[in-house]
Amino acid sequence: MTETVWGAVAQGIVMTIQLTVAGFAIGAVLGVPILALRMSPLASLRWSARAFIEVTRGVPMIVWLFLIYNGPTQFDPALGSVFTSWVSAVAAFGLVSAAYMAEIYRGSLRAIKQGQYEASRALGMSSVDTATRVIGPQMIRVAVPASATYAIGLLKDSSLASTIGVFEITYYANTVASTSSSATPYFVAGAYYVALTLPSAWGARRLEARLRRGVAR
Amino acid sequence: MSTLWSDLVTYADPLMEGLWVSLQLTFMTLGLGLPGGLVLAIAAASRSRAIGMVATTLVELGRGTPVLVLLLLVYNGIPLTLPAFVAAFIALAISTAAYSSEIIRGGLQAVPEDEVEAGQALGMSRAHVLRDVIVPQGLRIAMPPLVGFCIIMFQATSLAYVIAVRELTAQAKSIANETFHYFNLFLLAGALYAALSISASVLNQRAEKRLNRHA
Repeated sequence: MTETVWGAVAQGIVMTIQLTVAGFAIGAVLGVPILALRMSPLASLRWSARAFIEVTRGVPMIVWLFLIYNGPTQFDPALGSVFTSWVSAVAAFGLVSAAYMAEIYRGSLRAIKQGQYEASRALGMSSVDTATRVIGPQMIRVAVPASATYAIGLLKDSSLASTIGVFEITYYANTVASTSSSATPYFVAGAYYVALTLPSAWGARRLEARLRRGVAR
Repeated sequence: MSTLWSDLVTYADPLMEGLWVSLQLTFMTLGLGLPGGLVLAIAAASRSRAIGMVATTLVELGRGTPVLVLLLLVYNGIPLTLPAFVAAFIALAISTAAYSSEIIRGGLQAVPEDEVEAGQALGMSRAHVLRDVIVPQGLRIAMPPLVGFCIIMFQATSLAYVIAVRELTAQAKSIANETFHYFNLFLLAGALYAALSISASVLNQRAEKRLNRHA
């Protein structure tokens, strides 16, 4: 019995990982233009980026999921086939991650000393070169620990996708629990999440150490 | 857009009732979870290795398990059937204790070592130093991130919807299921969450600036 529970819940592991990776990838990429807007010299752009970040983070993930998954059907029921469970979940995770990642990037940008910009200018580097060759690489190094923490949090948040019917770990746990009327599947699900987060945390520390190699502090 | 306004007028009452349940759940969760976090933070720094290991393991398990899974586990996994609200409150409190203990631990560690030495030089016992020197200052240092975390927990109460607690998200969903105005209702619910979260975080940032003014 218990062995089949482990097997049944394990069916969702791949989907959980896919959801997390897809959501995080979209967030990590979209976070860059949002950061650019957030740091724009134009106050109106700066404020709209800030409003986007605050509102996106101010609404719970589950409300985003329902809004994207169920919301469009109010206008046209046929839109339900466009915003499928998977598409809606990835869109919601991508959107929220983008807001969080933009803030993480902003935090790491602030950690870079003013002298770096001045040195680049003194060397006659263009602002594009300064961004891509001097500031960017250093920023990534600073951003890795916080991004990894966020990604691990997102892995756990991906459990929310079960509420809109994405077949991930929690979804299978729910299915098995309702047919067997026992809570064992939830313990199994919890164990899988812990098992997934531990190596991720370890990997993140390794990456951090690796990026730090050969850098003067 | 006109339907949005009419939905707001028609369903303001059930939505506000839901918001009230969300807030009650938040405060009860924090009332149990934050002291729990303080105990775990102190236990994790204990001189006894056994106590330290137990506390660290609890924290890692609490942080490693998604809140949603904790909710389902407490609701379905305990032999006695708890009312949904109580189950939600316990599950969220466990999560709060685990996460806040790490924030509090950071604050306690940031208290300068000199303060502890000064306390010992005055002949204070370890417990006395902890109670009157480390904890008050450590909590003050941890306050801004702790309040930020409380705002996140307010949003996390939306998960209680899955075990049928009649909080804001559940109210929005049940109205939407009848009227098919999914977009409007979740927009309204989202706006309520955002309005409260954003104002709380603005106040938090102001308070932080104030606290740092003389530092």
